Amino acid sequence: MELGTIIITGNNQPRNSGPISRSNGTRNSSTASTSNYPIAFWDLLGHSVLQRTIERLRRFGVQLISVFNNQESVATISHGEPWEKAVLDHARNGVQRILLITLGAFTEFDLDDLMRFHMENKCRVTNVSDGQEPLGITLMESKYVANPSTPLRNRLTALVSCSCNYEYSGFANRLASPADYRQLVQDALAGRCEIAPIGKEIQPGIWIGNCARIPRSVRVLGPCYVGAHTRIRPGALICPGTALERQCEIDCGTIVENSTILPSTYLGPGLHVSNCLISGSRLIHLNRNLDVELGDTGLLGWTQNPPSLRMLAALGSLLTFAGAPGMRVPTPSRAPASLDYIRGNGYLG
Amino acid sequence: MVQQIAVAVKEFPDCLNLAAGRAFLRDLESFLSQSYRPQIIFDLSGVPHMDAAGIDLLLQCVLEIANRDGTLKLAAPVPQIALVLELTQLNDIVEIFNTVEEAMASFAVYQIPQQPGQPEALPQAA
Repeated sequence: MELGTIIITGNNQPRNSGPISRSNGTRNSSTASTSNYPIAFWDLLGHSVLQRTIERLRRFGVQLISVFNNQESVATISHGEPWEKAVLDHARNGVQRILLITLGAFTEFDLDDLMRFHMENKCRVTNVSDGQEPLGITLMESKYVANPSTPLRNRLTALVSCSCNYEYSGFANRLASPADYRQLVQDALAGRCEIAPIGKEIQPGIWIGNCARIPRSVRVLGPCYVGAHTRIRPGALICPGTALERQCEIDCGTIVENSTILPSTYLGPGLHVSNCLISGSRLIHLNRNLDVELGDTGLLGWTQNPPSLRMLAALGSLLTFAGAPGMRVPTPSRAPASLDYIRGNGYLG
Repeated sequence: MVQQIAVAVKEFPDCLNLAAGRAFLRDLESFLSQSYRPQIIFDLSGVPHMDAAGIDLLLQCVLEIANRDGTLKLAAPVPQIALVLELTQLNDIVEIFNTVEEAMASFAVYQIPQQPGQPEALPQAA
């Protein structure tokens, strides 16, 4: 086989560019949100960056793709990591070249062009960079790295002196922070990159996933994305630049503006969400650079469990006279109804 | 010209304590019953969390004060509370200030519009 690909994820834990205010430190394992995972795993208009990278490699005809999740950076990985063994296995099994992708940045590099560059220049190792920094993509000849007597990291370091640099000038997003992720969502919605939303484009710039439920009273303004099995309650307003990922629930009258709601998130009634990234009860406000956990407020949280699980929880409650731990059922806020009351009575002037 | 107005500053209770919330509302009602067009500031600096019950309490206070033609302003919310107020659109109903002093200043200073000055003499024709 000519090319094998190894994708290493988990090296880009989300970080904010400035100070983070975490004013409520009551998080526990039951409230672990999608946003705790590396950004490569976050849904992005239906599919994660990892899925999209694999799909893209498949389109270039790459059959052998291995994915490893490391919590350490490649620079600090010790000898004998699984991906390192995979490199040696590939080399032993006759794979001529190995493409090593440290999945941090999202790029749309042309693999055929990279291969052509690599072979024309007779490189042992080719690193891809965008003129500023490496993009975490390395193409190497397996025969030069397949020496089990010395650690792969040492061999890669030794090959740096004779490595080639492939300058990539196309679309790239380093996905180093939630703001980068939001920028990528906006770029995808605006068609500035090749990311295609998973769903049907019912109107120009409005994509709807399978089984999404949107009543007539909901206003949806493009460009935006509504993921599969997402439910929007009457009176909600979905403004441009918004992405509601799969299995979300947006309650009555809520306005979502220029934000991303990650999967299985519930937004209470009458809220106004703007420039945010929300996963469960965790909210990242991009303009204010705030990262807060609002699990106790009842304003947002996880969507309800399936009916079968709710039935089990109810039975458990009956038997134990207490709620089953870990079954988080959001409590809708009564505040918006009160707000409507105040507005209806003309207290706003 | 500056006109001073009596302003009451009240510390909003921690919303996790329901009894304190009810007591706060009772106190406020008794205060309002003795006031004419009350000007009130809620100091939120001692409120680390605000849940739906806290929003409800705040809304009841807004209603009570509005029923008496009064004005309520909020001061010194921590970032999380400010975010909750923004999410629930309460910032559209009530003015929010970074400090109690700023809120006081917003009550106290009334700019009287300038009286039109004496018209300048028209230039004499040559």
